[in-house]
Amino acid sequence: MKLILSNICKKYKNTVLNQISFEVESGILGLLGENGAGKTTLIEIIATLIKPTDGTVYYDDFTFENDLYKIRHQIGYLPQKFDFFPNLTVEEALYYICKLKGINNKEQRAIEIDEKIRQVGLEEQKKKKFCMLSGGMKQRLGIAQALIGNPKILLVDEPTVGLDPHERVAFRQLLSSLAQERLIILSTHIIEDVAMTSDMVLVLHKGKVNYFGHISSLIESVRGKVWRYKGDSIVKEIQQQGIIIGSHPTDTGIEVRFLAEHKIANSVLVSPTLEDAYIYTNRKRGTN
Amino acid sequence: MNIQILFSLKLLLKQRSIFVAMLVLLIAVPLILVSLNGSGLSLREAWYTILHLQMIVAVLIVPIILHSIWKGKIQLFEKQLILYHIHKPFEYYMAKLFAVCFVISSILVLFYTVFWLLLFDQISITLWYSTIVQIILTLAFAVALAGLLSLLLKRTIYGTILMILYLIISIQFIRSSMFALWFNPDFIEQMMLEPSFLIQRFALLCWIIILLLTSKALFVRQVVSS
Repeated sequence: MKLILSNICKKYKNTVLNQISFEVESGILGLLGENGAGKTTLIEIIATLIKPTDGTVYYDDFTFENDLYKIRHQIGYLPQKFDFFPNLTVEEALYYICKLKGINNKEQRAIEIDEKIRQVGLEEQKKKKFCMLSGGMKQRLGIAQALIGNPKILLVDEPTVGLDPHERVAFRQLLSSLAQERLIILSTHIIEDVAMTSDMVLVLHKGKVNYFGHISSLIESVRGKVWRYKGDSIVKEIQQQGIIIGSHPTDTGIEVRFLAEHKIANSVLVSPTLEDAYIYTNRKRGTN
Repeated sequence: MNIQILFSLKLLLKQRSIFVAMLVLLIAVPLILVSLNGSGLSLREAWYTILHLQMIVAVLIVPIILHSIWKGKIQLFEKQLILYHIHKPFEYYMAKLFAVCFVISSILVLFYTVFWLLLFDQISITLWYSTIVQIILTLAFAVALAGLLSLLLKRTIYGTILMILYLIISIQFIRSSMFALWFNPDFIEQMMLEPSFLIQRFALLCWIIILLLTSKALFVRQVVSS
């Protein structure tokens, strides 16, 4: 399904989203931005949960105004804080979602539930009540419910928050495996999640698009601007002219990774990462 | 709508402790109280006394039972995952009310049906029928009222307090069956079998409709604004 956002704006008291436009059809699109950048609002607009103040979202030829439930039928949505009725088991929760999504045939429903439970690896927990599941298992159930009915668009909002490192890796693998059949929009402020899963990235900053395109192009845009400095202490020039990304103590003093247009002191160029590019893009636009 | 009702019933019945407490309060407690105090009661008097006790208990537990499946406002996940797929969101709320009314009414209807079947030669079918009608009408009214209060007030306890006050005022002061939540036990026998009273009691249906329409407006506002 081709998703087109055209000049999307959302205003409450302040402007939350301003002139957001992009087109995407398949794969995983990482939606990156700091807290308050407007990621959840954008996801909720795409999910048809809230209406934009201005602009239109096209889902192939469908629009919010004319085809609301047809669109919702094609969307799987995992909200930021996935919660459900505590006394229901995994199977019962999925049964209810199947019914809500109009899967009324008993056999088809049983197949669908089994398939989704297997897909997210919850076979052993299918009789467990929701309140007894760990954070990672709840997220898996969240994905399973979103996948019911095989939606063409899967929206996942901050899915790895609160997961332990193992669960986070497993979750990323799960997302990658699901991307072959559909468009996935992954909203997160964790850069690593996007770097490990996505082909495309949209960087949101204060409600505006700072970058939209391939991750590799974003990384390439900061090649020649990422430096590593080793010394006894951080020199003043780095603090004044550079953007420090990270620093850690070494046996001989300190090692600093920073962004700068030109070489500073006795620093050396290093290969850029998505984090470098993300920080550089936001800082550059933020100061404009 | 069917799926919503079945699901609400499932949610309610899965809370076993609440269900057991409901059975004890509705069946065991009135029976024990009557057996302790009613050695001289005729069968018909015992019927009325148990009914009176049961209806007081039932009306008072309605807000609590309703709270176990409906918290008074839409939780985020309900909006994002459930109402998202329901074309008429008010059906979701209606299903919760129906489930509560259905479960409590069913327990009482079953109780009086068994009671009557065991003693059908001593209790007229008119009394059985009148009892069933009163139970269903009163509970439907109580549930619709508790639902509206849950939407208006922040805590279940406030709704429960208002229900207690309304019940006391109804029993003590309100002589008209059109406005009373439940009625004075002194008049119960006369009222239960009097056609004009029964007809007046059907006025509760109008109140129920008004309560539901008001609830719908409040609920829809919540769906839109949350």
